[in-house]
Amino acid sequence: MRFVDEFRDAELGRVVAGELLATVDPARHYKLMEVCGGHTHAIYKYGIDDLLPDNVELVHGPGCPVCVIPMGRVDDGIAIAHEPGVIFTCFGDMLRVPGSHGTLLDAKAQGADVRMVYSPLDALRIAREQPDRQVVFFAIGFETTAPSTALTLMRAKAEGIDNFSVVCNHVTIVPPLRALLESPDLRLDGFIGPGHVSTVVGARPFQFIPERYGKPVVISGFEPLDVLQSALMLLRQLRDGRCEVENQYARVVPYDGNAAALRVMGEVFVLRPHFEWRGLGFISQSGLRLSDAYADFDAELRFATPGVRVADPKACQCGEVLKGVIKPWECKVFGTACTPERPIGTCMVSSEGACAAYYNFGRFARRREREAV
Amino acid sequence: MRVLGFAGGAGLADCAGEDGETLAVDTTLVEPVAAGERVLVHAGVALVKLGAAP
Repeated sequence: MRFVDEFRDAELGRVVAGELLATVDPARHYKLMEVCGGHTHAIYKYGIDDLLPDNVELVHGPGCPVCVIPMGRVDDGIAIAHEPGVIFTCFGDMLRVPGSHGTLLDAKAQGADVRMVYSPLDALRIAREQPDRQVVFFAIGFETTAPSTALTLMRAKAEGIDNFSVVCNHVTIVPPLRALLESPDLRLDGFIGPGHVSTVVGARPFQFIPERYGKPVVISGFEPLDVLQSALMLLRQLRDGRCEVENQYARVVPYDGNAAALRVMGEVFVLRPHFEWRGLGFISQSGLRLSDAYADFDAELRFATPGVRVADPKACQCGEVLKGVIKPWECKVFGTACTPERPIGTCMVSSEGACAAYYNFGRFARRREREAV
Repeated sequence: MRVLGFAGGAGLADCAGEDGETLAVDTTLVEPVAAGERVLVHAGVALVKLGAAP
């Protein structure tokens, strides 16, 4: 398959691994953050960290959209789902994200009409087909997904569909990165930048990282060779004393992003003053809400919601995992009380979550590694 | 995904994945796009044109 097979070549992977080994300073420890959950998934699925030199550590970042949804927002969604006459739609991963009193899947079991959709366009189609029902879409995701919600709302408005609305939980990637860089908890040497977000926003928004914080960024694709090559590009920057934004994923990511996508987002959304991220707390200007022109489609205005901030369960350490402070296996409940079948934290729900990715793939390699020692 | 045609209405294309599954995809953000071209699709929307299918 074009764009895939050539980036899964094991022999080339070993060549890049050799170049990585030749590039690093053996006296130094390197900590690179992969921002995106898609990268985390690829790293564990393909065993990429096994090919890295021992002194290169990958740290998982906050770029899994399901993982960062706070419990209070899930509770708001569940409250709307229980409203009479509502068809509540969301992506599949959201169904199992725990709120304070259960999940959307639990709400469905209790009688709420909760349906999984692949895109907001599917939710709009349901609204067209069932004009006597209120159809609500629970929108999540970074700049990769926000254009889909925006285009759907533009269609709904153009068609005069008044039984469709959106709970907007869209977030933007730059504010949490800035928050991490300001955090005293974490010392990072560079970032493997988000590939799909960058198809929309381009490379330019990440320039502040080298310019203000002196850390290199390499925007990366999601195949194993993409991630390995991105790590090599970062390490070469560090070896050569360079610090810039490079684009490893140039076959997909244009430097300026997608201007049409940014334009529709600008029409449909405005920044919230602040938005809560699970585990990270409130981050200024990091979340999107519907603009005044689309306020009629705002489910938070159409329905009563609790709107209450709910603290994460004490045992759950998703916040530390999302900030890269601890590894998934260092969480107290990882793999015991918290598993993909019965998740306590969001990082164990989504396939892009660090805990789920590690549980599904990485723990086997780690077990072999421990046994070898 | 590969663009098959435009029977779905304004800005909507029928697209096929590598596994043969077909979806209606909003191509507004990558227009102009033609049948036979490949697009990167996320949540039902084409975000990037990847060129002609081999």
